[in-house]
Amino acid sequence: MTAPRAHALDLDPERAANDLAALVLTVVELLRQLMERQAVRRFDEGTLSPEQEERLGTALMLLDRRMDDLCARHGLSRSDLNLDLGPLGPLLSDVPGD
Amino acid sequence: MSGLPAGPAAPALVCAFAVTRTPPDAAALAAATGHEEGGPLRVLRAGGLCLVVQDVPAALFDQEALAERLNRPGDLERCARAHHRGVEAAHGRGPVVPLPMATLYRGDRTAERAVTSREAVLDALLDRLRDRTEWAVKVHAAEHGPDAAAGSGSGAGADTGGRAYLSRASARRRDREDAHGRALAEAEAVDAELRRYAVAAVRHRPQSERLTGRRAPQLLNVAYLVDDAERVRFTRALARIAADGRHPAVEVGVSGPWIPYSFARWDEDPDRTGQGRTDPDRTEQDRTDPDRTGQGARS
Repeated sequence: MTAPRAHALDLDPERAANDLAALVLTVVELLRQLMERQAVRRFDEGTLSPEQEERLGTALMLLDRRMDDLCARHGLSRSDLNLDLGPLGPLLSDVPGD
Repeated sequence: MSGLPAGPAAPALVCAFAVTRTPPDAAALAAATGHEEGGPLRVLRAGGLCLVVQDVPAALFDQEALAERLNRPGDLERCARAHHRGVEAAHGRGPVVPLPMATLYRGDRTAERAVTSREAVLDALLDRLRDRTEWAVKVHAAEHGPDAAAGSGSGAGADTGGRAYLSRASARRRDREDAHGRALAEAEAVDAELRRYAVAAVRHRPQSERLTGRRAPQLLNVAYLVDDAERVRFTRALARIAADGRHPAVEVGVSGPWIPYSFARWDEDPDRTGQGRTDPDRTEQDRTDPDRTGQGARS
């Protein structure tokens, strides 16, 4: 849960670095999800050649694992990366189980 | 406590809580505290109606100070509770039209004029709300099982190959969309069922996950206006929905009976209450909701 962060200004430098990391990872995760969605759409439509499917899939899979590593390193879970955009809903729509 | 000087330099403002037709019970009024910083609750006569008000210090309640205070969850909650106490004190003898939280006037005369100029609308509202209460129903998607976590990292995820990954991602997306579609359809079915026993219903914006403290999204946030004569049938319908297992994709939560805040828009045509700017009222009431106690303190 990101809740405790919302209303307190915490100037602990270590914490600030971690918050920055979380923000950067949020942006990366957003892009990753957008790319994955696009790739899956084209995969479902069948407009990719088998080599393209393999290449795209591998790239996305590696990116996904890399995200896991980075999150673990900063003590975050994927769901920590989500931002609540109020009336627009959550920033990240694909909230993984963890 | 009347005869306050009017004008922007006034040291006190008049905070209005509710409109009633018959004057509220004096003892109940005297026993109730509105905003802790203000004076005792009192009644203004405005045409044929009564307005329950309280003098509050301008330093804390002018636009700037109030905006700042309401941005702090703790203060917002205190303010909402104070407002609810004022409305409850007005309630009890016949119908009541609760006013939006922090309805402020420069003085008694302005407050009275605001009521008399809308007397017809308020009269119609008092008729509409008589012997009726509000019930708040929130429908959430049921929390997913562990299967939603599949595909990341361990075990099965080690099944290499880009195509395999893509087809897993595709299946995951389809599952999620199906589950979401099912949950939405069930939420609509719950709403349709409950509307059968309600005089009116208002859909509010679903609350964010931060506010609900749940991981599953809120799909539906509806207020129902229920006739006292229908109340048992309404609550039975809710119990049936929870018990019969026909809606496995959603969880239904209810709170009530409430004073019908959501149906008391006196600045709008009562027939149009279903749309538009209903959210401020909602927020206020949710903050007053006992379920929500402590939420502010945690964030």
